[in-house]
Amino acid sequence: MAYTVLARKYRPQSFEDLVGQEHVARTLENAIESNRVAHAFLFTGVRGVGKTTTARLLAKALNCEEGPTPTPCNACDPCRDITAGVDVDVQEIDGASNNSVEDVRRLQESLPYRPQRDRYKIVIVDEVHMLSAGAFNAFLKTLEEPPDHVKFIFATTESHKVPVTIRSRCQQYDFRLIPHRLIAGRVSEILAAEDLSADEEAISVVAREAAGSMRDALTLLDQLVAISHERITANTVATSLGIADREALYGVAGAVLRGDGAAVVASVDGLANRSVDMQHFARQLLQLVRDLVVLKLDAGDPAEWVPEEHDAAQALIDDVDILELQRVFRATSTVMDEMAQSPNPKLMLEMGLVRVATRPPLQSVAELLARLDGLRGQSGPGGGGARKPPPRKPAPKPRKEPSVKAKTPEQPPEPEPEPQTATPDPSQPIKPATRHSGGFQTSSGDVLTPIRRAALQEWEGLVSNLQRKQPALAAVLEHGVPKAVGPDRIVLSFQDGSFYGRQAESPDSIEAIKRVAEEQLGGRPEIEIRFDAPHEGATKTVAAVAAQRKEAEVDAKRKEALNHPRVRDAMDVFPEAAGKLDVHVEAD
Amino acid sequence: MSALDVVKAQGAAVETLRRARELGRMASAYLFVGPSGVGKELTATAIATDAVAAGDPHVADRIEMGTHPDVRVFRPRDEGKRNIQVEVLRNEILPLAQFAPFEAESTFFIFPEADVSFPEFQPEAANALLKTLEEPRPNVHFILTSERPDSLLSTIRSRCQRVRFGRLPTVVLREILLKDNLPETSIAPAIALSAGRADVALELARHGTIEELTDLVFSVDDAVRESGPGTLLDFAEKLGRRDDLELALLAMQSFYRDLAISSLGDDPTSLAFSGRGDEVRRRAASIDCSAAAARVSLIHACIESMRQNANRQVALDSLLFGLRDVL
Repeated sequence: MAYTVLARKYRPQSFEDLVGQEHVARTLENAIESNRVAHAFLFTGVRGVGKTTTARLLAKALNCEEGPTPTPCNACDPCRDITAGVDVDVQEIDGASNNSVEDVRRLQESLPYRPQRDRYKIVIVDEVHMLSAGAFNAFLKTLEEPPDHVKFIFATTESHKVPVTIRSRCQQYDFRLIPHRLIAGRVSEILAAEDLSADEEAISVVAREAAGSMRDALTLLDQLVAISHERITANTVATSLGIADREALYGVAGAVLRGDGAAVVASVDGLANRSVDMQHFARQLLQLVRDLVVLKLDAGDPAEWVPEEHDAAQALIDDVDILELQRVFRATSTVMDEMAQSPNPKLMLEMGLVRVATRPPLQSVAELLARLDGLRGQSGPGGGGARKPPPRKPAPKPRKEPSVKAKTPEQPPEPEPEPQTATPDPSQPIKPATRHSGGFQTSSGDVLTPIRRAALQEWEGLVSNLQRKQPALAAVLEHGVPKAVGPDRIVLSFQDGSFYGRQAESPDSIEAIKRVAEEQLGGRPEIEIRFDAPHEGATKTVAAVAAQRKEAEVDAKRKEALNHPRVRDAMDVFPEAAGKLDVHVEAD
Repeated sequence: MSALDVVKAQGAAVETLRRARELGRMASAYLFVGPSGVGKELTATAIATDAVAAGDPHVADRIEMGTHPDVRVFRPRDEGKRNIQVEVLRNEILPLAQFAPFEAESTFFIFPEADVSFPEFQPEAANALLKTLEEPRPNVHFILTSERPDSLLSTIRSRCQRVRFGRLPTVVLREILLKDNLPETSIAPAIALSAGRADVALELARHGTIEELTDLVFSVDDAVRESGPGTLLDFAEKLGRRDDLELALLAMQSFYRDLAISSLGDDPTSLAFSGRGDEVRRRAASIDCSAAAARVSLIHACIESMRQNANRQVALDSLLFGLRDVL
């Protein structure tokens, strides 16, 4: 007689038996009782939590001779046939092997015909995520409006691979991981039914190793039953699974946290000699470090430890900083990834942990700051300051944003910082002169007398104000040298025969200047346009200042680029390129 | 006499299977997990022979030659995409599992290197196997073997009973290598480098590979310590032309592990390159333990990226520069 594995033998045959999925069972039961059963279901969840089982249960509930009932009799022909998997009207299809459009079409052709014996034709498609895109689309119409006697049940571990169009036509049930406690309970029941005995602890380990999957637990149990002579003991479980005992685990964790590389190597060797599963050990270690972090943070009891274990854990972390613990966690997690892919996991574990153990100590931020201050003290003045180029902004440019336009008329005569001053904005020339004092340094080092500087500044303000309203005129005025700027008189000097001068002389221009001056300076000044001989003094036109400023800025950028550490590194690599560096500054 | 007797040093695994057979509790699907070259496939064939041949030497011979219809072995393909294609599985393999055993009481399907045949990143065939793997006909048994079980789908793993195989102890490896008439001078270092895997040990001990590899790893270390970029690039190119590149990289890993361990002042007998222990210790003196361990990790990253189809030469270039620049 062939042996049937426990996971198959003890497949739940009623909704009551279904462990850990009460939310699904109750919903389905209620739906059946109130005769509101949907025509398409999608069951999702990780391996071994009961998707296929529930699909078969639902099929039985719907097709039982007594039914539709939430408690199928398991005695009538349909129930027995469905359990055995031979029912003519319940088709269980392997989505991975029958995944083409043709497969789906063939299925669809059979659907319009009435079921041969049962109440419903039920199509269970397992591993439905493997259907091709075409196959899914071929399903859509039938899935939305199938004949009354057809029900679809899809099951998959990877719901994200199922198109939304399919999902939206199905009632989706998400199967949860089964809690440790429930798995342990079910394992005990099965052991009793099989007339086997086991330690509490052994059952607990099995449940823990299953990590929420009932099939994993029962597969494991099968294996343990096969090697245990009479009773399944915790020891049998540990050796057959290669699980390290807690002492060994704490030993390694301690060595890593203490920074004792030699001890790490010795303990990993010891584990290997006892043929402990290295991957499993790494997982255990990662879990322990996680628990230690939680313990260090005082965020509740991390792992339901018994008092001795709690003390041992506390002893491990007494002298360890929380940041160190986090670092160890991250490093351990990296080691785990490396091990999973490596043909020699022991070597990866050993070296990974040695690396964590011999890590250079972390330095506190305060200490680093203190050292930084020390460094700053050493390098002379200008050492730190000169590196940062002064925040120089380009000269005001014609701007056409409507928001700015709207604002200008409301500007009070007394210049005030606009709300946007928080962000340095180039379009803010109107400010008290003192605030601007940095703005007129020019790269050529021209020195302006204070009076002229003030005049130029006011003028610059006027021009930029005009720029928003009459850009053409502003462009003309940029070429004039302001000799005096005040609420009662503005004297502008142009070069002899200058085209710009003649433009500025026109009554329209004069009137525009007056209007702006009135807004800004609070009076209608007389405007005088002079024509002087070339190279008139140190006073500059707005255009000249703008040009110089631009040049200074490009220069600063060029210096900054040349001083960039990457560029310097590159120069170290290619010394022959010295003096051949070229910096292109693109227009903003 | 049981065919399982030929399996050496896998007491726990063999005992598990033997008892399962005695108790009539043979699972429908097994996953044999352990490093390469420790006897997983040998055990799989042996348990199948025990079950199918039932002591008949003629039947056992046919199984060994691969002509018995009830013991079938499906390996990954030799070249190109190595995984078993879903059409092959669906049309040629799974139909065989629908029949009752031809001659014997039970049928065995053996899939060596299952992680290569059914890789996680090409899950079509693996998914097509799931239903049959979970609920095959009575007396049909699947045995998958893998050295990287984590590369299998979790849905595959959850359907199989896991049997663990350990690394082979030195005595057993020695016995295996001596049977092959290999020179004594190659045997010891080959065993040390093989990390308990018979296939690797054999490959290393044959044709003087081990001596050549030892010279190679030392010269690589010289290069990353002293040479300029040009020499490193040349070296990378030379490495890239090797057919046994992965073996060479694994040897380099063992070498840097040796450095890390001897810089911790550990017992010198555990070194893989103990034959040149003094040289190892001399080099270990000038390197930080943590840096040596970091190099092991770098080499791993290189092997892994090549496995994922990275450009071999670029990966090696980057590896050598990385080894040089480790702090």
